[in-house]
Amino acid sequence: MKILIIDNEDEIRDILKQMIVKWSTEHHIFDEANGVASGIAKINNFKPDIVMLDVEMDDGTGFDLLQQISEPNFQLIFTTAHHKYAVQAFKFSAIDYLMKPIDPKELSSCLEKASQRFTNNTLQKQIIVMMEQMMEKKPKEPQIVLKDTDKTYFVKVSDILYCIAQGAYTKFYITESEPIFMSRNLRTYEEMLAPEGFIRTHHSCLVNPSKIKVYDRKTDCGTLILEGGHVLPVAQRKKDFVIQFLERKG
Amino acid sequence: MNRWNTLFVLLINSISVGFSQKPCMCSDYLVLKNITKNTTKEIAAQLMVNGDLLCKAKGYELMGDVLQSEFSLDSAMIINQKAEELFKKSGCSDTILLHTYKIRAQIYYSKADFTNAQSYSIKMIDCAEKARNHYEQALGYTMTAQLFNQTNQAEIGINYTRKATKLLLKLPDEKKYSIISFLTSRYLWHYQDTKKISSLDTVEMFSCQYLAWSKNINNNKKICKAYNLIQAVAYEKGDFKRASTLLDSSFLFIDKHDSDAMQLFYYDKSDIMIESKDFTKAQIFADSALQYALINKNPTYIAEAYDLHERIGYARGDFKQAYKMSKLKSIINDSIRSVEKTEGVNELEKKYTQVKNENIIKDLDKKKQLYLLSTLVGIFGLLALGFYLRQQKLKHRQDILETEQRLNRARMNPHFFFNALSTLQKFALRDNDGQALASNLSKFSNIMRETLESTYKEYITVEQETDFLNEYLEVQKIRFPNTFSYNISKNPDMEVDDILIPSMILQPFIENSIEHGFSGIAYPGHVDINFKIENKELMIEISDNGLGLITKIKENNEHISRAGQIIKDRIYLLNIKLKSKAGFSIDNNKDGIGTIVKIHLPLLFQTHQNGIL
Repeated sequence: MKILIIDNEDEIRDILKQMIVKWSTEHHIFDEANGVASGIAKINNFKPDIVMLDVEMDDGTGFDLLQQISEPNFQLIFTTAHHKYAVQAFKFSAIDYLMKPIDPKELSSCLEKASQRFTNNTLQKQIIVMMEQMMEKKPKEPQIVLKDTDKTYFVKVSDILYCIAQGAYTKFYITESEPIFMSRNLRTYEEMLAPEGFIRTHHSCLVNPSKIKVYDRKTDCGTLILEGGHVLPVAQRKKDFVIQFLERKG
Repeated sequence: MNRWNTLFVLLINSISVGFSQKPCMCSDYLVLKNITKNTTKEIAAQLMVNGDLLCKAKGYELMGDVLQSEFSLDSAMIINQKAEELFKKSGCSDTILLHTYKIRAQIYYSKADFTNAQSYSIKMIDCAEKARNHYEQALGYTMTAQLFNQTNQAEIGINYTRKATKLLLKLPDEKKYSIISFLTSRYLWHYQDTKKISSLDTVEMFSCQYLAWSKNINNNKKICKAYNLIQAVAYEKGDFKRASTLLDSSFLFIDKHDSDAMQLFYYDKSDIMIESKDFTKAQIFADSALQYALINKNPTYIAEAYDLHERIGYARGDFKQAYKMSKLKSIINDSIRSVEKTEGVNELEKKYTQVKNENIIKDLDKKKQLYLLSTLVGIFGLLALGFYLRQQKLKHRQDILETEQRLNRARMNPHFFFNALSTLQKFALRDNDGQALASNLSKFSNIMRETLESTYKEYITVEQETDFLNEYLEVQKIRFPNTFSYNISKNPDMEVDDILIPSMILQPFIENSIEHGFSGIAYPGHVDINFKIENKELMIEISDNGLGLITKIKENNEHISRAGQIIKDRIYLLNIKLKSKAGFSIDNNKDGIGTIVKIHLPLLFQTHQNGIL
């Protein structure tokens, strides 16, 4: 496969290349670029299968680069050391990323996944979701990309009813759709969706407040009834918080 | 209201002048000091003509102290400057100047030159910090706090008071309570300046502790002082009846020949009577206070007694009397302070020295930060860089205080970092194990990233904590393969996303279990971490099947106390801040194998605490 490594640090590019060569069973062809401008040129000339892209570079960011690519027909893997907001956007758009220093095992599995995905490339759509997240002004109808082992779902955040914790996993309930089972824990999604207004009404439950129809106070702690008749518990301590929240909403 | 001014005088006079540096000292002084019939003045006079430079300097230092206590302030100043000069010639380290600076601050204080007094009390702090003398350091903070109070900078003052409070843990009982008695006055003053009721509560807490201790050691003078302080709280709360009763209790323990104590007693008594509008009694007590002040020849006290008379005159509508007394008071006050300079010049000078002082404070704080930083740089460039960038932004001393607390949270990590790095070295030395090395390096970085982030947070949710511990334990498993297993459990109903826990508080104990409890055991180790709610508290139990407490203490005492000290500090601050009763215990497991640590913390909820935390 043709792999293009874009990173402003020579050392990092070298290490990445060495890691892939050393621990990959396949044979790859490499090319490198050290910034946004040179990266774009290389993408057009070298026509890589996989692009490994750094976030912060001297002449701009990886996002700047992507904005100038009209039709990405490669697989994308971001690399970053600590860019918190970027990581949040990667998670939102289910774009692959590696944290530096890079774990060779994660690198291999990332490359392997990428090589299997060529038939159905959703990258362009994912990039749109990611860019929305990186923009200062939030989009009117934000989307989230949920990706399990074999499928990629583009879900409107406003269509999500609620998420429920199932051990270390999370189950998404979505309007007029089958539940989606994801392999990250609820806290991860809370961090992603809290900025969108989602509230944790219970330790096992993350709710989209715009989907709440009734707050039934008859029981001790009360229960929420959502659109479509879903009934959800409210933690005792969260009761006031939920009431306040709903009142403020009108 | 200036009744707490006197405490500064009491503070300094009660300090025994000693040495801080062993290699640099005057042996003749130690000999002279042990001959009990010698007064300090005699010792000072003898040392001043001693041939040894250090002894001579010590003599001047002591004489300066004696002179200032006799209120010969100008002579005291000259003598003290001479002492400084001599000490500087001696070639000893700066720390030897600690007491000289302390006395100089006192002289300036008595001259009511608070800005110069500040410069010297800050220099004194610097000496005490260098000499690692916690007691003198705490004393210096307390003095500086008082001086900031004097110059109407209550908030800066209270910061120094808090710094001194933090040092209490490091002091032995005798010294701890001596500092507590001074701190009490500081908090009281802070209350008077800001009317923050929490400060008054602190006064009450401290003075009750002080009372219990002084009763325990059976020291009448201290018991007396303790009652006096509790009385002050009642006074401030407007409960004059209780204040009066408490004062009467203190009277039982007063040494009737101690004119200082008698003066203070009658002053307070009269003050209470004025507030209770019983002017006849107030007048009688004020007369007695004046009598004792005159016996004492202490001009500050005399001025205070006149002040009482002035207030009584004023309250009774006897303005002639009030005017007469106020006149007498100002004569005394003027005689204390040399007022050659015109008011305008004084004002200008004050502003100038204020700026100068602020620069000194900044310098000292900077020095302190640099010291901390250089240590961290050695440990981890990235860690240090993070802090450095962070610290560059600090503008206020408040921030610095919080930074110290943050550093405290991160303190346990260098140890773990070092060990983890050593393990990585092990992988590096093995042939063909580059992948494991690279992979573990990456996992280790993740832990470090989280640790760095948590350093900025004082509290995290139980959910975040368990996530972190899981990652941490996975890395520890790499370090100690096939040594142990672990289990983190919690009540299934627990609101893990809402309950808060101070960050980085459990990790040191778990580290203890793994690195020391399991070291050398022949069976598989296991550590259980359990979160539950009991009696409206958050209970965390860390139980292992390792070597147990007795063996561990013997071999790795340092580590146990390190984890213990860190959590002690954290819990101490937590209890002060939230007025809670958090605590922890370390015991042998009931079944005889291993250790069990129980930590109980106040139940804090994110949804409710946003305002407080």
